[in-house]
Amino acid sequence: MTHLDILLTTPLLVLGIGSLFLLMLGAFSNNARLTGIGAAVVILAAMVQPLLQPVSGPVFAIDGGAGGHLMQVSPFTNIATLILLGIALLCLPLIENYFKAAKAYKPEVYVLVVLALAGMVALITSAHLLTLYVALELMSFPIYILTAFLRDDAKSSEAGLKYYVLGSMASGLMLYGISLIYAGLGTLSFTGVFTALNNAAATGEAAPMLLVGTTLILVASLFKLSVAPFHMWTPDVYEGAPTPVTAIMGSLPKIAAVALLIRLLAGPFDSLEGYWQPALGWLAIASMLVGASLAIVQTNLKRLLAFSTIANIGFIMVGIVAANPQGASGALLYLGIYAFTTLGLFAALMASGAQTVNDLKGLATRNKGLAATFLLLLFSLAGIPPLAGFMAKFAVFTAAVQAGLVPLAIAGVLSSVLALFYSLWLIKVMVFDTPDTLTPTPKIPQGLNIVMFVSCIATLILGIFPNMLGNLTLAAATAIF
Amino acid sequence: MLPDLIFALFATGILVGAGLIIAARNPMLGMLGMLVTFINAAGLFILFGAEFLGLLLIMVYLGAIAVMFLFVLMTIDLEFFKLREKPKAYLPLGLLTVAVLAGEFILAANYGLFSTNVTMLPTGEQPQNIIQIGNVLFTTYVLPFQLSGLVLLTAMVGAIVLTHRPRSDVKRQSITKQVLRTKEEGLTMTKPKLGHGTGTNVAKHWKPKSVAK
Repeated sequence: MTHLDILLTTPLLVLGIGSLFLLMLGAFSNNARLTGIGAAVVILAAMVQPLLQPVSGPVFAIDGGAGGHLMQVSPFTNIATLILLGIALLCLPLIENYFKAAKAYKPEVYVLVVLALAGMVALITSAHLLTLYVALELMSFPIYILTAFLRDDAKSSEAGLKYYVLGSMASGLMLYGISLIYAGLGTLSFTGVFTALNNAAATGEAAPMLLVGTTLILVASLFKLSVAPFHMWTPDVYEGAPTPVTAIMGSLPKIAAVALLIRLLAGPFDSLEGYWQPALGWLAIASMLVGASLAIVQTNLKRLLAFSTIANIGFIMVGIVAANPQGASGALLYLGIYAFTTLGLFAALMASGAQTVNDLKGLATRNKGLAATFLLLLFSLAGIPPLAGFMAKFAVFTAAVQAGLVPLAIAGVLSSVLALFYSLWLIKVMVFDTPDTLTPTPKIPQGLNIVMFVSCIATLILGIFPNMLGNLTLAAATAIF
Repeated sequence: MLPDLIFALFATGILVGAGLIIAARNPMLGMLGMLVTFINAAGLFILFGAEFLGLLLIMVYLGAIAVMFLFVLMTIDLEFFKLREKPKAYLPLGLLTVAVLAGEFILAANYGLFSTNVTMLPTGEQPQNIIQIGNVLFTTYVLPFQLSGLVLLTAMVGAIVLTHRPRSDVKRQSITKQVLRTKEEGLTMTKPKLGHGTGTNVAKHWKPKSVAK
């Protein structure tokens, strides 16, 4: 271990040690708000190194580098970490009011969020299947706990249990896949697997055992991403979890899992492209169509957003499947834009206090500002120019067409039309339907206002100047291909 | 010769234990069969020179998992005999599983699917592998090791957060408060007259329990 190892792992160390510090702060002060401010400070501190001194290189050599490395920091992981932590900062203000109302506002909420972030940063930078597995667990566990946090609420407990059982199964699959790869190749580091698979591909067909192992690892990642055939848990868990946790679940782990998937496919599993590209392409199509078409029939708003997530992950998969720098860059850009748009939508959802679509009836007459926020963010999510969502979709489709994957782009456009349908339907309900009650919505808490404001501003700015983020992601993505 | 005999002993133990799990009518007895299997498997590991794995097996499977099973068996009200009404119904599925697993192993072993460049731990006479595993765990692989520490921390925080409920109806002892209590707060000095009691409020509010009803 050298001083460079320490420098390169700074975000992870800050988050890990910071979580211990927050745990103590929470235990001794018993002040959840103070812990929340502490969490924001810890996250900001973790952003300092990748922002100001974005060095890159392999970290924690095994056998002096001959056996690969445990972690790999690159411009790509730096930008993914920054997006992740930035979005995490935006998640924090959502927490307070909801948990206070549910009488479960405890300091541990923030501790768990920071612990999950440590896992996600480790996941983004991992370059060894062992680190990857442990990081995946560290990312998932706090979110299982947060999902079940309202223990007096049967739905929350049910969602927590469901997420835990299915998530554990996915972890088990991943572990089995890792063990098969180890049995077949005798190495677990990304570089080792890359070389070994390349050699296997050069001499002939890769052994079936390795393909099964690769498949299992990919399936576990796709489960975390809730890509179509592995999406069954998403609507139930989204509906049952406390709304701020749903917002967190819909943004942060997705960023980490997508960054990991891009690195896995561009790194160790690169030589198996002929196997995974068609398969993942079909999954992307399934995801886009299933998510968008099932979102139309939902009446519960959280379930609707869950299906919208599935559809949007499908779009991100298009960028990943393209397997070129433009695709990876588009996927990252899409993720960043999608994450703050959903956060804004969840904030607006909490501010309106609506549970079902009918609760939104005539929102425009009751609270114009809130209805306008909904309108802007929904249009962005559906991909209407000149909002950020359109730029994200444009980037992903361009990459797909460049890679010769026209069917993917066509399915994407179809899915966009479906997404536009439910967005417009929601807007029609808000603007044209007669409200059941004319009482104005209750005063919106400051935290939610901040999130909605930032989200709307970012949607507008990135819609008009997408290159502000796009150039960064493209430079980062070029570095890993 | 002797190692062969010891191997045979442990292997027989595993088979007997596994048979007991299947055949026992009482789940508690089946549980004991599982313990026997685990102990013998641990013995086999130690015989092969993997004493760390053997000890781990005893600690984790015997110490934690088997005890948890027993605990669950004792807590829930199982109708033991109903469980065993149709033992034959599970036979085809069991045989199928065994056949598939065996087939996989034979295939994998015969066609050289297992990698040959797996680093082997030293075998035989060197009782070293605890030291070796410790060495790599605390040096090369310190990062995943620490991360798994954080996972365990998360589990602890979660267990406390999800089960702990602050109760307002229970008096708690605060040692600091007790120690810092002064004479003025805790003592009232009175000079009662003969036959009049202390005359403080305490006496007015106090009633014998039988009267209070």
